[in-house]
Amino acid sequence: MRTMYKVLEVGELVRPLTGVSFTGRHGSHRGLHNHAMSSRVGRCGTGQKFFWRAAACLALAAGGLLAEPGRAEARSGEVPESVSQAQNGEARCGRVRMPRVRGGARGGSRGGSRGSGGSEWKTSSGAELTSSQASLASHGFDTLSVGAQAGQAFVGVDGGEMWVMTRAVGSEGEGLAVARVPVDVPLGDVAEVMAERAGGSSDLLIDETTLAGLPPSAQRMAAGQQLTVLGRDGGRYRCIDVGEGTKDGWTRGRLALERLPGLYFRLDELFETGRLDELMKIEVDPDDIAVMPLLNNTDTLRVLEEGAVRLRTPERFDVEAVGDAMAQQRGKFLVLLGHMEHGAFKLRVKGKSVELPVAELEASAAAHDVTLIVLGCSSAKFTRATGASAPFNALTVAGRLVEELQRGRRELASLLHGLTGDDTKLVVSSATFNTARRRAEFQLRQQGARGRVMAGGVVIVSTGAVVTVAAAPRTGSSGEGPAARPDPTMGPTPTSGPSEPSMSPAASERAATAPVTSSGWGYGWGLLALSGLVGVFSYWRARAGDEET
Amino acid sequence: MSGETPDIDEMVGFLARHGDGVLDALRVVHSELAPYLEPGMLAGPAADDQLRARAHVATVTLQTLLGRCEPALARVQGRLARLRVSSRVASGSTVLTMVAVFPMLAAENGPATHAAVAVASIAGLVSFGLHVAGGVEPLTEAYATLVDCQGRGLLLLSALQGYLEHDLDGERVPGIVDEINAMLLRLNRAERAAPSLAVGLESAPRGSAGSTSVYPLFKLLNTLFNEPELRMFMAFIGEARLDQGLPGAGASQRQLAFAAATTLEREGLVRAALDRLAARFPGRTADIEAVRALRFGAPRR
Repeated sequence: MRTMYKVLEVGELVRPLTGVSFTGRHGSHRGLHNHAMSSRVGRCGTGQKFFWRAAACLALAAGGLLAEPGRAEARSGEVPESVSQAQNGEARCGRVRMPRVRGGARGGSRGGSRGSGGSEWKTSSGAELTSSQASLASHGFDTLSVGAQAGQAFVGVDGGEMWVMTRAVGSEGEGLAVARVPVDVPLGDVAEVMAERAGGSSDLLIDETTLAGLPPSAQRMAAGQQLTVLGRDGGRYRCIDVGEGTKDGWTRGRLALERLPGLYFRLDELFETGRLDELMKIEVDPDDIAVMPLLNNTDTLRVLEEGAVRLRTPERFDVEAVGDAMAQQRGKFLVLLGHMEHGAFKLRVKGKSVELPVAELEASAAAHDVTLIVLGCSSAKFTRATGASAPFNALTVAGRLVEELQRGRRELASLLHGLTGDDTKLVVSSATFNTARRRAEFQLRQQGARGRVMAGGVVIVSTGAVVTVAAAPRTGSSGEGPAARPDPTMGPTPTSGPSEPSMSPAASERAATAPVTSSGWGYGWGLLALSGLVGVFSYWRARAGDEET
Repeated sequence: MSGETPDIDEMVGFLARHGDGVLDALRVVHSELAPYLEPGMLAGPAADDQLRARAHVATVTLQTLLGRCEPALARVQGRLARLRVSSRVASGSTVLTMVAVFPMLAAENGPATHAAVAVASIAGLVSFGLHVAGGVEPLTEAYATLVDCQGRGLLLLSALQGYLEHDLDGERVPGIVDEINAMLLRLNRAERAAPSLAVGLESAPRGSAGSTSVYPLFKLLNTLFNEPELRMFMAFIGEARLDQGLPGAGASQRQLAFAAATTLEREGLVRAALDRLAARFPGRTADIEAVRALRFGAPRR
């Protein structure tokens, strides 16, 4: 079923990119500015600003400055003179490069009238546009073909309307084509219309802040579509619609940006995760990552078991047993690997189909303070944790997982990137990075505690530190062997000592009840035993001295 | 995973290890299912209703399995017999070791003692070695699994072939395919537990020349020809005019293609038909060769 949209105005401005000033044309167009950007670029004329930005982006995109090197190279011979001139005369305004435009104002007026000074607007108002049809043709675009060289359209927002601008070749030469649609029209439909006009694909360019400010109904893309987002850091990122799943299906409307190759960050989490370069530096200890295979594919299980991966296989495949197995991974990461349908892991156990709803697993993980990485087909649609954006091959991902976990301590982003490939894209959650950061800080504290213990000698200068070292979650590469099964004999231990920085109450509780590993106990018990021996020796020496006297 | 989309992942895993290129051919014939014909790819989405293709994959898997079962069973049986002998030798050595202890204790330090020590040591080593090398149980289990797979496989194959060859009601098919996948799951696990079973399956020659299913040929004919072209093709493929045995004008294209494939199979003209198709459609060589590989077995690599 096709969606009908009200087209407020579709127009065509035919004029070369250089020697153009939009001031005259849009001087009367009060309030023409990008709301989301107005705070940062407020010192410039707002309406003028929007058009400058659009024109600049399009010009630069066409010239390949914003494109990949390969594409830019391929197009280098095709850059029209006017675009080259625009590039040569570029100026900075805000954070977007602007062409320094020469020439006088040959403005036009809006509303269907012909612009003065030769610019032509072919507009129509109040017409219905079906996104499936090339119906823009009946609204002034009939003499227009969207510039195939650029193949890109810039999207901005002004006064409750979405402005889509693209380089175009019209009856009177090259220029800008402008379409205005209500701000709640899904971007996917905008892209579809522009692609129809371009006779192929059309890449939409949009500013990150503008995108974040769009209403949810507009933040939707269709399958296979992608958006190019001009990031606040000056980068250029691909954007896909991950979608949001329910038990009965899933809907579009959750965008994510590819901030790192193969790794998409949810648009609504970008502000929480902080700066990208900080995220890149967060390290993770592979020993903090265990895998729970929620599948019974023998090939995949073989790879995991032979790959020295820490496995947390539940005793049974039900939510309760999975929760019990999760408890072994308290405060750390757990990778759930399996096949998902409609928001539930599905597997066949003893001839019966078993479903493990990911929502229930997430609740269980939260109760046990476990950070999940949900590797199920299209799991990112159903979870806020890190998940896969599409179906993937479990065997391939298991192989990558084994390889990554064997490479020792490294940056989390690098590790996650190692799991991705042509067929596997991950939508990462800020919670994953937060947990890694928390673990790293906690481990630093531990190292400090251990240092105090060693500096204090065997005699218990810092009893709490010794106990903390003994009772804290294991760090480093020592400890449990590969593919360790959950040890039911392992119980909670009362501890004291430094707690994790900026921990939640649940995290503090976790620190107090962290599972004790054999290596940790061995170290702690060894020190305690040694101190006991020293005590016995001192007592014996004292008794011997008494007897002598 | 659901009733409509039965799993095939274990079958695919089995074919990847023991299929001799059959999987490649299946990927070509069922291009719509190609992503799921990769080891490690779990069930498709619920909307995926390529049941017939999955049923065909199950059929080919069963035929591959059955083709390998008989020689593998013979190999496992031979190993079991050898193990039985070595087990008896081990038991005898153990008894000899125990018996040799008495002369050692009774005799003075002389030749008899030395001989007893030597016998006890050698027998002990032999016993230990044979027990370590033993492992009758996994082999017995593997043998039982193979026998079970063979028996059940024959039954399931006949049920599936009825569906594929005669377009019978497919209501039970998802359950059957699921059952076959579960059976392969057990077999694959048994292979992991008993590597000798894997060795047996791998080294066993193919018992049958290939799949006897006419489904791939039917699919090929259905895509290459329209009705008059197919009738014309059948008229000149053999010495007799085979087109006269085809259904009349009221038959659908699918029925016609299926009848043509069945006729070619019955007349032993599949190879000749494929040769002629390859000459006539050089652009479809890959499709035609995939059908040939499925029918006559892929060349050994």
